[in-house]
Amino acid sequence: MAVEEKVRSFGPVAGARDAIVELINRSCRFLDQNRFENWLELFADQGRYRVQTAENVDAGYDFNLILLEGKAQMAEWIGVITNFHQAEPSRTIHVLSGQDIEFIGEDEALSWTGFAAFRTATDGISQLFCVGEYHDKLVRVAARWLIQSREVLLHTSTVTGILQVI
Amino acid sequence: MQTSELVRDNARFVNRSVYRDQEIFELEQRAIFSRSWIYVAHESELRKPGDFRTTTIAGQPVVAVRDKEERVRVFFNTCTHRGAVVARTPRGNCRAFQCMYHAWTYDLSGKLIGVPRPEGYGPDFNRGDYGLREVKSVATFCGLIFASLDPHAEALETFLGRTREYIREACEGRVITGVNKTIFNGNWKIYRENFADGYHPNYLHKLLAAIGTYAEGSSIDLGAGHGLLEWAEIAPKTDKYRAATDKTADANIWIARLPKDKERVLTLFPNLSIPWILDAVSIHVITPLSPERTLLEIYLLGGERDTPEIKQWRLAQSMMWGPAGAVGVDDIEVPKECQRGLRATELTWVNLARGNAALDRGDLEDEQAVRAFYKEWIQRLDAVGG
Repeated sequence: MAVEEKVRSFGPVAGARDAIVELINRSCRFLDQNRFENWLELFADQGRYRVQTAENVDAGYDFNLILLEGKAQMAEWIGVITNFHQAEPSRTIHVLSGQDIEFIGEDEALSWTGFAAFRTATDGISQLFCVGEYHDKLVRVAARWLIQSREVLLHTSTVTGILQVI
Repeated sequence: MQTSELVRDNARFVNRSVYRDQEIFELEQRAIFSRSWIYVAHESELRKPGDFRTTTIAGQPVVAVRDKEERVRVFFNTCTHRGAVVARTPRGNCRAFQCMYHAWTYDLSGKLIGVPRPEGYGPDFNRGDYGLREVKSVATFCGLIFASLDPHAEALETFLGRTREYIREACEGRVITGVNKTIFNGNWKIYRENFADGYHPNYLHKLLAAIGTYAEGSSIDLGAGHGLLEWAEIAPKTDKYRAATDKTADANIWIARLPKDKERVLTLFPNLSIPWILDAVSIHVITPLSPERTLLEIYLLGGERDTPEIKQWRLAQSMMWGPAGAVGVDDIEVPKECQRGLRATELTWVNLARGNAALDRGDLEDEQAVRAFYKEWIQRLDAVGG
């Protein structure tokens, strides 16, 4: 079935599309504002978050920079970042491409987003930090769209500095 | 430059200029990186003929490849014609190396086998004079492939000395399962020191302090610049960790499942570290790019016969290291912050004086393993008449 036909067959998707775009934009804004707890709330209970570099994928390696299965592990990771890491404070800005959204059911969708993240350290110097793709699976739960899984494919295989969550 | 002013009192004090001076950086490239055995690849990356890996030795591009006779060779990664690299990617497989520029082609033994329109060079042109330049000193130990630009380098096993038993324990029967890379703005020796420093983990790594995986042990000078930290594995104290992360112990991946007697971090001269902590083993390759800039590549190892469950477990614990590592984040911040502070030229020395410098073995928080590095470092610099 062509994407357009799928979209038609799932009824009023225009609102859903807007909601998904807003969800993805918001997920990046929360990261940029260090609002990790709010970021976490955007995931479904069985949410999954994975970060891989293109180099590992191309080489056929299974290694993940980050793999968090379920909201409990995600909360654990946020706990590690906020309580234990001695990272230099910094600000980030995500710049997103448009989303390519495909509805695979009335309450399920897939989305692709390209992103670039810029980081500004305490010295006030900004630099391009990393570039990659979000491959999101989204679900509607109780009339609210949530992230079921986010697979981050980092084109940037050699990160300058540290990467806690992106 | 007077190298005698760089390290003093049996390496208990090191001059701060060694972290920031361009002249010292260049001397290190000549005296250490051009003469030592340098890790270039892992055998599991070069399983079949034509598999190759690119890297650098002393800033020079090299490519390690398994040839048709299944021998591992290392070549300077540069066309003998106009200089372009002949292997352009970090890893791959090829039947021959072909330069993109004028299609000069070399077989896997480095022999020049193809030159378009060779008659243009006249009758004296001899392909045999233009093979890829080979690095003559290449040797493997427990899957780790090393090369040295010194054609008269001592035998690899002699160089490795007392580290061999620990390398065997950590690396035998293992394969690469992933890599992460980062560049940090700090001198390479600071990261190298950090992995021979048993004093910092309880203070820098608040996660480790909360988990409680770190206990009494030893800091050991293994000779020839190599060092070892080892400590007994202990059960995690998770209360503080739970309180901070609101988690149950069941979800805590920071525990060991596989049997072993000690936690260990081995440091090899000049630029390699092999931590074996919990069930995760990794090879940290520290490559200086400039006095204040360093490339860190961390290769994660798994067991060749790991069950799927153990494989997943190791992969999870491998998230300890690197730019996104639960512990590694702190280790990458340290060189940057030290480098910023070491620009204060009014101060002369850094202090590496913990423990009895006359002994090869000290307590875990002593600095035998760090001093081991600097004793060899200064000897190598002196040897080239710095």
